[in-house]
Amino acid sequence: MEAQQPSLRRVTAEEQASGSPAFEVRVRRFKSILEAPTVDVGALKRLTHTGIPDRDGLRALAWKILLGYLPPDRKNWDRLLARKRSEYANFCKDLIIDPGRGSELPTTDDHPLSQNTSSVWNAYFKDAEMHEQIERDVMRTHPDMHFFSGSDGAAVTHRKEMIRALFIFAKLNPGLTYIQGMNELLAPLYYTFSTDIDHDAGKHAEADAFYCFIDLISEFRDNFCQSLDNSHLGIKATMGRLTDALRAADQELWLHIDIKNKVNPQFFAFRWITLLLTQEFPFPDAVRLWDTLLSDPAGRTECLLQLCIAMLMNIRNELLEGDFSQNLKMLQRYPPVDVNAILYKAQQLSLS
Amino acid sequence: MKMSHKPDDDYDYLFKVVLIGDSGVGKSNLLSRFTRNEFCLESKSTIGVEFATRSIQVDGKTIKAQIWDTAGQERYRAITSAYYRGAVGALLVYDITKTVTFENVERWLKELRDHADSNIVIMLVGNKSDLRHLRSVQTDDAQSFCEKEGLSFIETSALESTNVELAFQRILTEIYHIVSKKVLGESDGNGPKPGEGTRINVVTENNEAAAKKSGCCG
Repeated sequence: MEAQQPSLRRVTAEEQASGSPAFEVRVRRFKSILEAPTVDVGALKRLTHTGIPDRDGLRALAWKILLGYLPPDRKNWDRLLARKRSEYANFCKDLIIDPGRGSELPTTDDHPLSQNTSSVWNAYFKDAEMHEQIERDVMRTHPDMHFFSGSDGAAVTHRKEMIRALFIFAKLNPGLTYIQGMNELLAPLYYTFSTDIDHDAGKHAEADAFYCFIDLISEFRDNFCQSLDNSHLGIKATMGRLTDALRAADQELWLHIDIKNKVNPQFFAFRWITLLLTQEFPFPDAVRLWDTLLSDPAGRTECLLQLCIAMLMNIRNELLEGDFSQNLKMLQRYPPVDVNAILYKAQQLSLS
Repeated sequence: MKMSHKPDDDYDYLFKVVLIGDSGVGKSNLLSRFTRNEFCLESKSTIGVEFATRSIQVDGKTIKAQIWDTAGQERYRAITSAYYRGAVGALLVYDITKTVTFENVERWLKELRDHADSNIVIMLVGNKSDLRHLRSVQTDDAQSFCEKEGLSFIETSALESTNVELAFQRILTEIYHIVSKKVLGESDGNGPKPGEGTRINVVTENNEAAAKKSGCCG
């Protein structure tokens, strides 16, 4: 395997400060990769690992490539995007049931009070229940951000589009359907694509986020799958790996929280893992963590676990002083931190 | 190292109470209203479990309530079953404006029967009583259901802060009376035997809440 390991270094404040010379250098490096006829995905990953500058829609484009939505060859993009977006429009047309739409008169067996489980009306009510759950959760996505929760037309449209994308996903994946928390995974994608400075791309944020969400969830879907909870693939097994990794990385801390205080990882890491850390940090920080998560050479699950360990070790002194109740409160409401410290720690762990 | 003794840690009893019920009925807001006196019109959906504590006084005793809030959706029930371990009380919440959340109360009771201790104290809570014009579950219907099932009942509004304090106060008092009676009329040999002035945990010894109290060793 070629050495793709990013070098161990901390991103300086200057590199992050928009307008600084170091920041501009990073922007140019991203552009030279993303504007090439064929994107060097390896180079893009290495660069993304230390964060994408918030500028010129770089993140929207980079994420679409890293999530496999856009192929490396630039010349194929227009055709592919047109095809995908029209396919998505067709899903919306075909999958959103409107029982009143049929031109034929209702059959004796197909009316709103029918007990027949194959009735269109029955399917409609089932959908309505799922739709209601999605709606409830989308309404509660980042309540502190105007983009998602505002009352103006733009925010209403954002919610409507997110609801539709999740609903279409659920309809196309009857084995999984919609699981609470998926809204939190769609949100960073939808936000990033919707705020793209490329307005044409921004208009198609819903369809693009939908396909990128499929790619993202394909790697993490087992976490959402109840039937796999007790298998070696499910969320419990992943939490078990987290415990093992903590034990290997910091035995004293493991002894304290897992053995002495009996703070079961189910009580905190369940959310960290299923939501890919989106509820633990302010939105821009979570987005920054996703840059690394989406480009990590060791794989996304591996990277996620390293970030979780880094989060634990980053507050180890406070945890070591706390009892069950204090530990749990701190882990469920992670204290404000500089995420760069966590990223740096996680990188150290991956190299050790 | 000796743990610093915080006022938060001075209590006579530690009771674990779980909040259950359908998604969107307001469980998290009941928790935040009671433990932090906060209410968010749109709070994030709960994934997995959330935890908070608050101490109250009952008959001159300090009772520390350890309250666990769980996700409402079906998928999370299997995962959350571990949270019932050691729970001595449950607030089963429905939304008075959504009949289906009241209809599902039976399913939640079954959930408790399957996973929780058979002596768990259950209180049915009809939340969102501020939405008077949208009410679809009548108080009388819920009341008679509770009489039939042997549950306590209260209607609350986490938004207006109506009866929230009272709901927790009542269930904790009820638990306290059961526990203190049990201690006085010591009949079964299995229960923890309290000496004078010792702290009583109704939670079992392999429980995380009990483990928490071993903080003064080492």
